Amino acid sequence: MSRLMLLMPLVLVAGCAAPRAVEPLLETGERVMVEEAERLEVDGGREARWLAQSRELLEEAYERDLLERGELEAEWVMQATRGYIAAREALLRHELDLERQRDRRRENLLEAAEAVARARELLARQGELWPEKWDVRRLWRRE
Amino acid sequence: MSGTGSTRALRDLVEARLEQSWSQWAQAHPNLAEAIDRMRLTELAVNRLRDDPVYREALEQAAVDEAQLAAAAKVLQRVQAIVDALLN
Repeated sequence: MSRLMLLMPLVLVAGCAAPRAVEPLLETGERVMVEEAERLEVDGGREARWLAQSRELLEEAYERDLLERGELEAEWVMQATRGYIAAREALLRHELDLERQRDRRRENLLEAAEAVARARELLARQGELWPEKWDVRRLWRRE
Repeated sequence: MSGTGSTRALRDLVEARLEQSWSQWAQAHPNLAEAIDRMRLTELAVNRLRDDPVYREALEQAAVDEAQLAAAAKVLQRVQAIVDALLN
């Protein structure tokens, strides 16, 4: 993401430069955004493994408490079960939050990448859309 | 309750109530207490409270009535009830 943060101002500043200089920057920007979006999948996999491990730890701890307890009074079992269920629910909510955040970031990145791709396409077709006689840069060229 | 300040206040309130119940609970369930992330448990309690109709009604009353103290007491009772439901 830090690469992206550095790249965006560069792309914006480059907006004032000649199209030839902008094109590679836009291309890099688009590629970085797509890569970032793909990296989110990797992050998602890592988070899923961490969540699965947390669930296993909870289950093991619940079972260990049951095994280590000499007498299983009904109230104690109910307390343990409530705590275990609450912890599982908290994990599930956290998982859903992470998924939502990841989806939002992916959407934003892909939309930004699409916008850059369109900008590149426009630049490529600039000659057709912007006749040479309207191009103010020719004034500088004449000098 | 809305806004960051209120959210923080609610979280602090829930955290304090959870803390009161926690040490006793953790003594009875040491392994599970070690495996539970209390920050997420606090978040869960805050979310349950926000969805709780009695809690919401108490907050609405506090906003329109002069009997704010009674409503506040009701809110505290509700926080305790939610925390108890998580552990006890």
